[in-house]
Amino acid sequence: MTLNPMHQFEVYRIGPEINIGGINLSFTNASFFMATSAILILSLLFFGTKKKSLIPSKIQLVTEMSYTFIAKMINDTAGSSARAFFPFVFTLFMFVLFCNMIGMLPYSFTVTSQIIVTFVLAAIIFVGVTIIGFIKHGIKYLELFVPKGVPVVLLPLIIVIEIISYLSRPVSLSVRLFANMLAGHTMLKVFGGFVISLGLLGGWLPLSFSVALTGLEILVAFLQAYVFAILTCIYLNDALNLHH
Amino acid sequence: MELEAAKMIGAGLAAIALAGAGVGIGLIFGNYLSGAMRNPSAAAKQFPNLLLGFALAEATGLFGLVVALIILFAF
Amino acid sequence: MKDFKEISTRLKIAKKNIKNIEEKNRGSNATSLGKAMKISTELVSAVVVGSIIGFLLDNWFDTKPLLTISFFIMGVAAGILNVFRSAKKMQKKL
Repeated sequence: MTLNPMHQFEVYRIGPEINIGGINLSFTNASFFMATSAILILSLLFFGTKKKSLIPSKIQLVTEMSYTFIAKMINDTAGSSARAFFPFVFTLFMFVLFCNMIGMLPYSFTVTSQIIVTFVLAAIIFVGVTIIGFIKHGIKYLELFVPKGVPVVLLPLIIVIEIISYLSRPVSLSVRLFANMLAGHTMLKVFGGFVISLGLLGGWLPLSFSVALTGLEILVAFLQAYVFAILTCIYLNDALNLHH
Repeated sequence: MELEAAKMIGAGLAAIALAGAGVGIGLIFGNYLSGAMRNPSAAAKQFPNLLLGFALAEATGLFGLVVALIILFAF
Repeated sequence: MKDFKEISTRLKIAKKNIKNIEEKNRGSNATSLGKAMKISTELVSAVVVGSIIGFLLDNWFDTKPLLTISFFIMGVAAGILNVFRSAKKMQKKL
């Protein structure tokens, strides 16, 4: 039996095959876990706001804590003019967090370990922030690439460097989340393979390491969702208040 | 040299980039600790910046890991 | 004594005003769910419709995948703008 650590990232079809216009749109295990995390988030928020009591119950406490966390993050980084973006950033944070956490359960599939999922999220953020910047500031949005206090001789070089670092934002955003999830889960499976192959006598050493690694992976799941959300807020701040 | 051998060597070389990630993360946490020892009451306010800096430093190292995986599995 | 009665009537009027405002804001869970679905379906439908239009135009003009990607980007831009505007309107109502 070959122990392949990459086998967990296979996307396969569940249910009937749906082919529309030559594209395979059938329901896969990736869609199943995305739908599961969406339903979990909805039920957490629904049952948290059912009884609006002054002294919150446990679920209401969790809902209020997540709301306050994101609201404070947006207010601190992007200012009060970005309050209209709260639904978007909240949805982004909760979706990435729940997808990462559900991937920690055994036999499940981590949705955010597929580069296409994280790339679409990062593309939506990048295009959205650029469009918002152009609509709010007009052509003056390009002043983002000209930092203050730069000697005129260096200006062309600095502008090119700034443009390249701006265009690399969606790439870095998506690859950061993807690589963290991929590396974490691959390491877990590799150490699991070591436990089996070292047998009963030597198997306790990789097992203890696996336990520590699982704890670290849960921390990384939360941290990556937080970093995704806060980088979105920082890019929004760049677009809404040009470097002021 | 055959393709399989070249892929293995390439992936191994690309993973050396993770050394930079280790150095960067150590620098960030070391500076946060020395700052927190000098001014413990202001340390809690900088904790979100610490997490952000750690994730950004780790990301650059993980780009190298992604190059290694691409060499191994996509060529 | 007159000041005391005046303060107590003013207090009663103020409390009634607060109760009126509270009852106006106490929407049920279903209305909040409706508002949430409105915002989320705006973004999703803009992206999906943009991509579908791009894909159909690609099939017609045989220029895969250029038109699909550009219409996807336009769909994303339209969706984000719609979300921004309706969220701003909801904030102003608050």
